[in-house]
Formats: sequence, structure tokens, C-alpha cells
Amino acid sequence: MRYCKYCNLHYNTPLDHCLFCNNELTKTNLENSQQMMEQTYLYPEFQKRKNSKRFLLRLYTFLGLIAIITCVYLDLSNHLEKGLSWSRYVISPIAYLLFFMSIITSSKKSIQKIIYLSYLTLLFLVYLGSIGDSSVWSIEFVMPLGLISINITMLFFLLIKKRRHHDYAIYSMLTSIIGMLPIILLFTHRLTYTWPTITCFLYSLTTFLGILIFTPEATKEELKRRLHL
Amino acid sequence: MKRKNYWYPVDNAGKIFPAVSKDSRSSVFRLSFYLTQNIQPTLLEQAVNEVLPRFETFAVELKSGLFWNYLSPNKHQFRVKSEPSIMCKYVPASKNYGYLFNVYYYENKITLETFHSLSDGTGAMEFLKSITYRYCCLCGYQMEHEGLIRSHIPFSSKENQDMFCNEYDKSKKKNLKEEPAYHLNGEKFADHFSLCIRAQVDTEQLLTLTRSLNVTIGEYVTALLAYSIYTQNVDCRKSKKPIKLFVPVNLRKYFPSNTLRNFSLYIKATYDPRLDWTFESMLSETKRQFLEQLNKEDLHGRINSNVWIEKSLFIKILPLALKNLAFKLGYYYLAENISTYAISNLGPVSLPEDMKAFIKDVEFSIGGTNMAISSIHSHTNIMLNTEWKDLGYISHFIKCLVDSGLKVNIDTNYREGLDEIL
Repeated sequence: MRYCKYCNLHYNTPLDHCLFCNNELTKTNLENSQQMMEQTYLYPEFQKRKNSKRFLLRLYTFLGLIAIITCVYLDLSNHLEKGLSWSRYVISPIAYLLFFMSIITSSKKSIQKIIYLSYLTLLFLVYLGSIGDSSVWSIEFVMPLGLISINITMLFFLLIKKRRHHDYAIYSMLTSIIGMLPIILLFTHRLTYTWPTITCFLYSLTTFLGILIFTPEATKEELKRRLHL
Repeated sequence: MKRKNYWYPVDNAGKIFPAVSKDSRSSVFRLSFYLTQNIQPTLLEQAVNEVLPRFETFAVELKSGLFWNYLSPNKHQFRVKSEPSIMCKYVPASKNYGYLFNVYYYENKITLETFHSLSDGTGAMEFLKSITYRYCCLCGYQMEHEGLIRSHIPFSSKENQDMFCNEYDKSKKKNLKEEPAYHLNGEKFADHFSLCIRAQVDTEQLLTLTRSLNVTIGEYVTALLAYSIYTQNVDCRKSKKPIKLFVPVNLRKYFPSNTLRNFSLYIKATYDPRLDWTFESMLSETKRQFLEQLNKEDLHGRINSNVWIEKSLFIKILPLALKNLAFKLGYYYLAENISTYAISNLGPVSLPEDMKAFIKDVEFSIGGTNMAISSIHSHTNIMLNTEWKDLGYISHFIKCLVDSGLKVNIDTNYREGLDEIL
């Protein structure tokens, strides 16, 4: 045991100096070789963490913002009256990558990350299509087929991960509901190619009803939990 | 019989923590037992996994609903880990197989760190006692549990009750309006490091001292800490904001219950720093304020007000994402902003006679900048945690203990040269 004669404190920890007055600690008379052996630190040694992931995210955010501001300035300085044109092709992938990286580095569950990343990618592709001359490929093909892909992925997880069936049933139901939404476009827009949107709607509806019918009790229970007030 | 498909809404006290917790505010507290011999990790892991199914409220994971979070069974194998150097560290549940608690080992120490949404100190201590008891049994020791080890007592659904909702009576609410409090300031340690200084004193000596002053240990320690902050922090006396020390109260003493979930509420000691205080005047003021607040009626009123917020229709139907935003704001204005410091007293830990021989010491810590007190055998551990580099008020607090005639033994997680990297 160590002792600070200035503060009148006994130390169980093998420090050389007093924590409060910084004077050298003396060994008490009681201290023999066995006690010396026993006197150890009660807590593990602090080790500084290297948070390179966070640093890279910050660096990318910084560089991305600089690139966005520069592009917007250059774009607007040439065609202020037309608004943003080519710079949107630069801004959108930078923003996409930024969101992508923040989702990847977040503490969410893997399945949630997959869902968020899938929808983010889909949104990015649809936006990319919408800023071009023709949005047909993105709105009429990429969006419905992408939503079907997400639904199939969720159904795949639902079927193979029996242990988390309740969770995945809800995720599948949610993706199915989202998959049914593009049908609205059929009524509000004149779509050139209607079959992908109709297929997406029918597939999503089938999945939704399938989950409701084949796992009614489990889904009902999970829904009750998720919606409890 | 063991249930498989149970679930719980998070209790009233725990609802806010999932929304506001992060690296710098972990909402985690720590309980440790120091054993007489070094820990064998494989046996410890086996002990946790054998005990865990009995503790339904711990064998859970946090899930998000549309309106509220809830706790759902977690069937993953639990893994124990070597103790990290940061106390009460924030560990996202996704990195811990969804579990909201961690069991660590270091030399002869078993540590349980629990996220506050799960339980309070009393509930977590029951869990740690059961783990340690089972661990000792697995090491080959024969022990009688004497009815003090929860895992050996038949399961009762009362253990899982949300006592806040059980005791709710909307007709007896109390006004919860609070003014902002003075805050400690200065330079913080890097990497959310919390320096711990454990002052170990003889319980009998401490009781003799507090009895001579006609106060309880809690009142004495609260007044002494307030006085240390008042005298050592230069800007404190100029501050218009009062020093407010928050002291959690175990409500099981006032509303009989054996729940393992959160069932504690704070009382507070408030001091105007512009007044001329002596330690004696602070002590008598603390005693008066404790007496005023520590009664069943007052505590019940505060439970009702807290639960009333949760029960109001507007709050209920607000989607979780919006609630989380509201929680963040609410936590700042109704918890962080109104508190200078928190002092939690777990009291003496009761163990079966056979087990006492294997437990050398107990430790309770809330991490961050807080104080936690626990007692075992014949000594009391006063654990002072701080994120601030200025140790003036802690130094003064300990000096006062020494000057009162107590023999103080210090333990710390500080090591020579640490200040160079922090």
C-alpha cells in the first residue's frame, strides 16, 4: 500500500505520485513483498482508439461539400437563368455516396442497413433518370423492377431466417406496401410501358397477402407489438 | 414455466434512453464484484447463459415500433468480453448481439454494465448476484443461496412489472417544472474517458461520523459534495443558477415490489450559490430538503406526472421518429440542463453467508461525471467519476473525509502518464 503524507491518503493502486497533490507516494510500513505482489491495478490500461472510419467520413464530407459548392457556383455562373444543369450529375453521386457511407458506418442492424441502402440506391437511380432528357427508363423500368428486387430480397431473408421470422415478416410487409405505391403513377401519369409497374404491384400484393395468410398469428403478434400505443 | 414469446413495452423511466444515448452519454451503469481468485472467462460465459433465461427482462433486445420501442426476446448466445478501459462505455446493441447489457472480466473482477432502459441498480444487482453465484458453483464451490439469489427463487410475473404504470393515478399529479442548474465546466478528457476515483472508507466509522451529525450517509455525502463544488469552482458563486444535486431513490422501499425493471426516481438538493454557505448550513439544508421530498405522497405525485406524459393521447400517437426528436430536446431541458451532479447510493449488498467468503469487494459506478456509493462487508466504496480534468472539487471532497477522521483508501483507473494522451 502506498501513502501520501501530505494528503493523508492510502493508495491501493501502485501509483508513484498522489493524484491530488502530485507528491511522491511513500510505501507504508505494512508493505511487505507479498503485498507488493498483490497490489495491482483494478482497471485495464487506457488505450487510445484510432477512429479512422469516422475520420474518413468527415474527410469525404468536407471534400464532397467543397466539390458541390464549386460545381454549383460554376454551373450557375454560366446559366443563372436556367438553374442547375450539369452540376446535378456531380451533386447526386456525391450525396448518394455520403448517405451510403453514413448508413454503412451507422450502428443499425445488418438487415436494416440492407433495406436503407437498397432504397437509397433506387432513389439515386430514379433521380439520375429524372434529370436526364428521358425519365422513361428510370421511372418505368428501374423503379418497379428495383422494388420487386427489394421485395424478393426480403422474402428470401424471411424464408431462410426462421429465427427472426416475426421481424422479417414485418419488413417484408412494409416493402410490399411500398412496392404497391407506383401503381399511383398509372393513374396520374401517362406511362409508355405499363407492364413493369403492373407486375410490381401484383407481385407486391401477392407477397403481402401471402405473408398475411401463411403466417397470420406470428404477423398479427408482431404487428401488435410494433403498433402498441 | 419459461415463456418464449413474451415482450414488454420499455418502462416509463427507460423510454427516453434509446433516443438520447451516444458515445458521450452512454446511459450505462456498472456493477462489479471482486472475487478472491482470477476469473475464468469460459465458466463466466457459461454462468451467464445458464442464468439469463431466468431473467426475462435482461434476455431481450430493443426493437422499434411505429409509436414506441419495445423489448422482445433475444435468443442469441451471450458472449462475455474482456473489460474495456472506458467505464460505462456506450456499446450499440447491434454490436452485442442485440443485448442491452455487457458482462466483462478483468483479473478477479466480474463486471455487469447495464443500459438503463433495462433496469436500475437494484434490478441489475440481482442479476449480477445470480451470475456470480452460478459462476462460483461452476468453479466447484458448494453454497447455500439462503433465498438471496433471484435465479434460485421461482419466477414470478411481478418481477417484470412496470411499477410506474402500476402505481399510476392521474388524479394526483405534481408540477415537474424545474429551473436550469449550474454546470461544471472546463476541459474534458479525450475519447469520452471518465476518470474514476474510488474512496474506500470503513462503514462503521462513516456511520459514527454521520450519526454524530444526526444525518444519513446520503445526506452527508450530498452536502459535502455540494460544498466542495461551491468552494472549489470559481465561477460557481457568480452563477445565478443553483447547484442541484440529483439523488435517485429506490421506490421499492415506498411501494413494495420485487420488480427487476426500473423503479427509481430522483429527489434533488438545491443550493443558491450566491448565498454564504458553510458546510454545516448546507448539511442542515440538505436534511430539510430530503425530509421534504422523501415521502410516499410526494414521490407518488412525481410518478404520476411522469407517467401522465406517456399516457397522453398526443404523445401516444406521435410516430417514434418524432418522439425521439422530442426526447432529445426533453432530455436536455428536463434532465441534463437542470442537474449539476448525480449521486446514487446502492446501499449495502446482501449476500448469502457462503458466498461472502468469495466476494472481496463490490463496486458501483454510473460513469460520466457522477458519484455512486455501495457497501459490502465492513467498508463503503464512494466512487467518484469525472469527465473533467479539473479535480479540485473531488480533491476537496476527499480532503474533508480525511479531515473528519476517516481512513481513506484510494483506487483509480488513472495511471502515470495518462494525462499526456488524454
